Parts: sequence; structure tokens; C-alpha cells
Amino acid sequence: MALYSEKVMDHFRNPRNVGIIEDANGIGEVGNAKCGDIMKMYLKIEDDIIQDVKFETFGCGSAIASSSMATELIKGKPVSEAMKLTNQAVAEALDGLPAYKMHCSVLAEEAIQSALEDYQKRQTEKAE
Amino acid sequence: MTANNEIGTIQPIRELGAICRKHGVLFHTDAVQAIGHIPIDVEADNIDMLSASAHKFHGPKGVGFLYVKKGIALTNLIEGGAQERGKRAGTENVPGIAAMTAAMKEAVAAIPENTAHLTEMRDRLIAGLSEIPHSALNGDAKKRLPGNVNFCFEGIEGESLLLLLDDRGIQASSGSACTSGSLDPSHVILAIGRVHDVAHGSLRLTIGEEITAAEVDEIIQSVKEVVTYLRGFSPVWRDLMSGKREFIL
Repeated sequence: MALYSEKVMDHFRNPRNVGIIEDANGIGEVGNAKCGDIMKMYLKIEDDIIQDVKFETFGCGSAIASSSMATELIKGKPVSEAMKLTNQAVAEALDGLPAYKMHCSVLAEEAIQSALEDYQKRQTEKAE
Repeated sequence: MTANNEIGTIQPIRELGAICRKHGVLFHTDAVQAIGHIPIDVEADNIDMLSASAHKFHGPKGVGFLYVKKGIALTNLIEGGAQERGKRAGTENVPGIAAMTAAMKEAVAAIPENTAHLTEMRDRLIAGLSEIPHSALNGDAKKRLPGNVNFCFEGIEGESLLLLLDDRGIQASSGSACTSGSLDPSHVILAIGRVHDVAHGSLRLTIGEEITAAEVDEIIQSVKEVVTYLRGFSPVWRDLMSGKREFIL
């Protein structure tokens, strides 16, 4: 299918960082099954660095590829840098997405943000 | 529709036509999916008008026909030349029409033989796919086109299923929103009562008369593997399995 770039198909066929992290300290889930896309991100953050990241996705080819690419872009990065991840960066790293699939990259950005917020919330609660 | 294009359900055309006759209503049926696949008799089936398309019975793409019972006056579609009794001006696509006729004769003549084989293959495919937990056949099990199989698999999305089947040489289609380019999944799958969550995971497989039992078994195996693989990292499936979300199928 010529719909997707080679990069998208590569990340779809061989998604990186698939699965869950049992002792994750930041978890985010966005989307809903009714719309046909759900992404769940698990983060393991130590010393402000994203040591590990895993994802689970219910969705189309570009949703799976966007999740995979988003995890690759933040793995090993400091939290502050991961916070700056944009959907454009995800789409660009995938050599582009069809216009009507851009929302998949938005969902990936939101999933990462949601997991980071969860992490920060947990840190604040721990400090209190 | 004589037979539905997505789920293959065959409608009681003869009975519907009889009701129309009784009340003096003209009856048109879209038989695109049905012609060359199931027997149709415009007289016995009380059909006043019928549409068909050549490519659905191995004829060329871009040719079709409208059957109109004698005595029914239709508005002209294209004004101008006298072609097709003035109904549709413009030079006819004679090679296309000739090819369609040849293909239709062949297809209709082969219906008894093809139906026997296809029905057996279809039912084998349905039985095999039914073994996948939390799946459901869409449409009637028997009153359906001999070559049509349509399933919903809970916990996965249709487009990713299609792409992975395509990698294995299996070309299918899905009623998921992602494949249609719209936000909603198939209106047919929704109309038969499947909720959105499940409708996104629909798969249509259309088999042809050349298919063998071994090929059907390969398809079953591939669909099983791909569905299991996709469920393996679906957060929806995880929630279903942990009881956080209730199974629909």
C-alpha cells in the first residue's frame, strides 16, 4: 500500500518499545475505542531521565507507527526535553503522514504529555 | 440491494417485489453484488428495474447496465443524441458492452457449480474464524452471498489488520473509520447493531471460485495470528481481559 511512507510501514510492522512497564512511574492513556484509537504510554523515569518507555495502542497503522516513533524520540531524554515533543516532530520523523492521519501523531504527543503529567503528579504527591 | 455489498446479506427480493406490485409501486433493486452470483429472474422476482456492474462478475470495469421493464417511462439521463433510445446520449462503449455480456453469460451459467464450491469454502472460512475468541460473524450465516465473509474482532482496529494481512498476500477490506477516511465506521455494521468500539474491528473477505480449501485454511491461520498479535498490545484488549472493560462479543 502506497498510502504510507516506508518509515511508517517499518514502525508499523516492527514497532519499537511495545508492551508495558510493571513499575512505571508515569502512565498516560488518550483516545477512546468509540473513535477507533487508544494509546497508552508507560514511563520509567529515574534522575529526571526517561530510562524506559513502552506503549500499547489500539488503532490503525499510522497510530501504531506514531506511538512507536514517539517512544523512540523520548527514550533516554530528560523530562524537560520530552515535554517539548510535538506531533509535527513525530510526523516528520516518520517521513510524513497523510493529512487525514495527522491526528495519530497528535494522539502520540498527547499520550506522552499525559504520561509525563502523571509522573509529575506522582512526584508532587510523594514530596507532600 | 438484492445482496448487501459489505455483509452479503440476500434480501427477500421476490417478496418485496410482490408487496410493491400489490400497491402499484415501481420496484428497483441494486443487484450489483448479486448478478452472476445468485439466480435472479426479473419476472418471477417481481423486479421492475435492476442495476448491475460488469466488474462484479469478472467483466471489465466501467461498464454496467440498468434493466427496465417494458412500459416504464424514465426521464432521459443525458440529453442529445438518440443513443439508447434517447435516454443516454453519447456513443455506446460497444467493446465494453460485448465483454460484459460474454462475462455475464459465463458467470450465470456457472452459478450452480460455483455456488456449491463457494458455499462450502465460505462456511469453512466462517467456521475457522469463529474459533477466534470474542469475534462475531456479521450478517446472516446462510442467507448471504456464497463468496462473502464479514467478521468483527473485539479489541483491534480494522486497518492495522488489513495492512498485516496484505503483507501475507491476503487482500481484504474493513469497515473501520480509518479505511473509509471518515470518522464513523461502516454504516452497515452499525445498522446491524454493532457498537462503534466493535465496528472499528470489522473485516470483509470476498472469496472467488478458484479458491481451494488449503487457501481457506491459510487465511484462517493468518487472521488468527494477526488478530492475536494485534490484541497482544491493544490497551482495549488488556482492559477486556482484566475485567476493566466488558466484552461486547
